[in-house]
Amino acid sequence: MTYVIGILDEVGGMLLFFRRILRGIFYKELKIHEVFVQIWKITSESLLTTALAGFFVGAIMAVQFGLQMAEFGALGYLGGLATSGTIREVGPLLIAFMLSGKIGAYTSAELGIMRVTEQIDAVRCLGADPIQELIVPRFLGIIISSFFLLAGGLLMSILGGMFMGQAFAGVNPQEYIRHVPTIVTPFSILSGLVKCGAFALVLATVCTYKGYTTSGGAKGVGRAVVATAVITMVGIVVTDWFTSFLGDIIIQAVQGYRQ
Amino acid sequence: MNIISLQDVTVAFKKHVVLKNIDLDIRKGETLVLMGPSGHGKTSLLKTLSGLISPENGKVFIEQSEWLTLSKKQRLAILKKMGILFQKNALFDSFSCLENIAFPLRETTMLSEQEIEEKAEYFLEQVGIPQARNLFPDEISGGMQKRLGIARALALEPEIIFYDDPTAGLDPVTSKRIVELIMRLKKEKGSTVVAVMNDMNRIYQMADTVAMVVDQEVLVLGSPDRLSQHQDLRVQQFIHGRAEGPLSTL
Repeated sequence: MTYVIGILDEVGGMLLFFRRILRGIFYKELKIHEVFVQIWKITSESLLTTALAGFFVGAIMAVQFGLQMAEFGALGYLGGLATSGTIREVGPLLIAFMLSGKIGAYTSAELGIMRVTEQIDAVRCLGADPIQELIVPRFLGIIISSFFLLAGGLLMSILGGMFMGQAFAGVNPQEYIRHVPTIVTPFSILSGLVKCGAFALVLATVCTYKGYTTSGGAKGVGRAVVATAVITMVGIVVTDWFTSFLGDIIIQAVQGYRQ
Repeated sequence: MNIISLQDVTVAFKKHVVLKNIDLDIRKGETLVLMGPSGHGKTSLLKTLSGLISPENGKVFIEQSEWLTLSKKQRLAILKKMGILFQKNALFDSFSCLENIAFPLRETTMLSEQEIEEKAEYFLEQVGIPQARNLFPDEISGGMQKRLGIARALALEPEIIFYDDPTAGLDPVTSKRIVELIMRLKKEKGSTVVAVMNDMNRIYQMADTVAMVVDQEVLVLGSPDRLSQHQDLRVQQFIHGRAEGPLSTL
């Protein structure tokens, strides 16, 4: 019972914290320069790893789809299917996991250290609002950067798929991308963007909350980082299920309306 | 006139009580030193006096206004009149020394960038570390970090300044100089000072009033002379730094 109450307490705390962030974004003056600093920092620090991972994910998708599609003589659709799958599901998930491991852990550790060394108290005592000064720029930075990283990762995944399609299945690049526009629908792109935004929202809220509420010195910072990793991973998977479920309902409703 | 008053204040973190039924008045222009064994509530008391910790029970009056009833805007206006030096300085490690002092000026004043820079340089000179201008906090010594923390606390020229153990971890010469610096700046600005300190020589050097915090309560409140004549064994043990006595069991 205590465990359940603890979880509810944590979720409640996170929701209240999220509300404070939203108030900071919509009702107070944004530190625009700081937001851009964070966007640049997160994007530049994560782009290489995201691009590299994206390349190999594209390559894996091409190999996996290629194996099945060769049996049906439908290799011409390889590029379209691999790209659609990456845009709708694998891309956003990959970016979210990469960001969770890198930026999520970094942000919660950075804020956690600022908390235990009283730097956050100092910000408040010096007449500034810590939420506005430290949390909102990081929160927006993570969300906005994730879209840039998604774009970079997807581009590289297409390249990876193209490379592997040529090397593994003998599908030339022109053939690989020929069916991309027909299979990748606007809904696939919208679905990818919604998932990417939702995952980034979960990650940004969890890592800033865990960092901001750290207590107990170095041990506490360690605990906050581990908790951030665990909660974001679970949160991202649950959000993935939820957005897929919701997306399915929306598709069925739209199709029903059209008929 | 009292600038800060605590009335029957109790502070607790979850179920752990850190201050019990504290009544304390601080007069304008006074230097109050909080002393006592570690872990007995000095820093919590300092943070309660500065509005950083909200009490579980009781009332905190800062400048005659009850702290908990004030709006965020009113609190911010009062916070601008306060400066705090934290126990571990709490310097912003990603900012240079100059930027650390410029931060509160940028946040709370309408000064131009040039004026902010000039003012920050002025405070660096006041605390005797103008050479550290472009260095980062982890590139300067402990004494210099303390000076930088004092400079940052003074940047908004506050009426009330809180020092949480300003001489902790410093050699006797540097700690004497830090206290002299605090007293000189206090004299120049006419501010009220509340400090946590355990070095008896430094306490006698700077305190108008001393509050000894033992077992989450204020055991003695009065002048340093009154403290030295106090008959309580715990007070005498602490003043003379004896290992044996009632405090050793705490």
